Amino acid sequence: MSEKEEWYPKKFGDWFYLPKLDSFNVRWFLIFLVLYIIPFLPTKYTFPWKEYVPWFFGFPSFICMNIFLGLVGGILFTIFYYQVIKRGFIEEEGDLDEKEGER
Amino acid sequence: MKAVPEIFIPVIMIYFVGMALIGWYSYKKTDTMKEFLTMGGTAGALVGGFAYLSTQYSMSTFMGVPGWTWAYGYGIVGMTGTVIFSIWVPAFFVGFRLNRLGKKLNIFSVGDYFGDRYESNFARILVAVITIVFLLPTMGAQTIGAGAIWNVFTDQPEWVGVALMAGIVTLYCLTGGIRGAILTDVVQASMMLLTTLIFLFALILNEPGLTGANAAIAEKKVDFMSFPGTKGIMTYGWLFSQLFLWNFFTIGHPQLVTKFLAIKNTRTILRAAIIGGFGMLFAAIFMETLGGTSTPYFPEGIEPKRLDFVVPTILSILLPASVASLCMAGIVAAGMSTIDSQLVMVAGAVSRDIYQKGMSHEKAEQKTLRLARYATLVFGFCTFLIGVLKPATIFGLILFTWGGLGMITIPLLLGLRWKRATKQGAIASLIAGTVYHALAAKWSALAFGFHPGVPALVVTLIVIVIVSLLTPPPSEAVLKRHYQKI
Repeated sequence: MSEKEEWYPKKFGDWFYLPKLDSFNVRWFLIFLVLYIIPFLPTKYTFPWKEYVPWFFGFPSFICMNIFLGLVGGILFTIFYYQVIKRGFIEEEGDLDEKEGER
Repeated sequence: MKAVPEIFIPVIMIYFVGMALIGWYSYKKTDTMKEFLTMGGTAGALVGGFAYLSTQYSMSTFMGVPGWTWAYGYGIVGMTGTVIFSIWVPAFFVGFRLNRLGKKLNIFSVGDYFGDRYESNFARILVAVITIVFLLPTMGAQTIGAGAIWNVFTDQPEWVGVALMAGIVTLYCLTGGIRGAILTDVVQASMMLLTTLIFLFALILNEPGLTGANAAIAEKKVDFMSFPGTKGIMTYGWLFSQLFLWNFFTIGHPQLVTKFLAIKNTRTILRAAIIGGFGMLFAAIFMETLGGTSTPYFPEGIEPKRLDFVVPTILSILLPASVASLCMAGIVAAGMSTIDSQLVMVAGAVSRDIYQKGMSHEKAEQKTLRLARYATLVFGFCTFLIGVLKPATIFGLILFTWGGLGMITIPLLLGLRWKRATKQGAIASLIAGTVYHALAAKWSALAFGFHPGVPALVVTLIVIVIVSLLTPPPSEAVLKRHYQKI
């Protein structure tokens, strides 16, 4: 944006400085959101209310589920990282500069 | 259990000397405030990820929460899978942007950001005061753990362990600033992960083993194995609060957010989030779970007041003295690595935010650096005092202070993401949130079944939006400085 441009936004949406709502961002946002919601689902594997459901080594199911979700989250995040690198930016143009001098 | 000072003291002393040497090495490279507070913005992915891990994970993860699991059941582990995103969430909301703005605008601290974005020294000083008020008890909580370990392993008074821990941390922060803190964090994070692994194998290899232990627990108290736990504490509201505290409140925690200022660039932040995330998942899930699993290994039980002693005690029972001592060094490392960043933050709050910027001593760089070092010394002593006085359990102190520091989250987030956020809105929001948090901590009805910080966070959001819309927008200069693509 050049210095001469108007800095006070005209439209409501322009007051926000957010990542673009493109399909890439929306897809990953939804994937990560699902991982946050799963531990709260009232099932015997995620939030067993007064019910002991033994899994590996006798640990309650929700603990095993948390380990599984954590690992899946980590793997997905690693995939996300490589896709972001391929894309070249995370929020906006030039966001992944390697050298300080390029900023 | 039998104390083994002849083995424990040499092991812990070797560790302390190692940390002090790293501090001395860092001292030679720390000659400006930028170096003292942000390491010159040069941290790589491994250093950044491990530093974030070891700062967020403290005595609370290694002693406090396992003690809670031991007392109240496995439910506390109910959202631990999400800690894999503990760095990614703050990075996404504020980290990437702050990293780039920090380098462009010479921002060294959260107070610095508030001062520049909201064009207000009052906002800067207010953030500095909140930082000091809430970080000091957190630091004290860490030394309580060191005192407990020292007492269990040497039979000597707890204050000796408190003094040793506070003294060594103060020494390497005093000399090396955040560089000393971050470099020691890498060693400390490695020791924390090793301790977790040893704890896991100790329970697997000793009778009754994991399966046997869980069967014994389920037979005696089946409530332990599900929600809401043995005392009915771990409800939906409680679990939701924990998720907020560990994943979202950290967005506003100065000691964590400033890691984004120390890391080289946004690509490195992403890598650090992966490395640190896996480390955090591993440490949190196993330490917190195994605190509960250890119940049958320790049939004589423990007094409620001494819940923080569960892990040191069980390790001393199950492991040879030398290995147990090494694990204790790993747990002490968890506490020290948390205190060090916090100590640098509170010293920076006094020297950089209040003295240099707040009181307009812009050019007094060397004097400010000296002040930062004196402040480190004074706050190090305060940490020792809190550790000796022990106003609450480790986890109790951490829960209160983490909620309080979380009040910085919304004004910081909206400052970065909403151009309309104003100085008046930010100040009103910080004050309203902090007051509400204190009130809700005293009168639980105001917390609506959540941790007091959760409704207080909603208050900060409502107040900043309303007050900002009622006051004139920020100056054009601020919009230009903070919202152009960098």
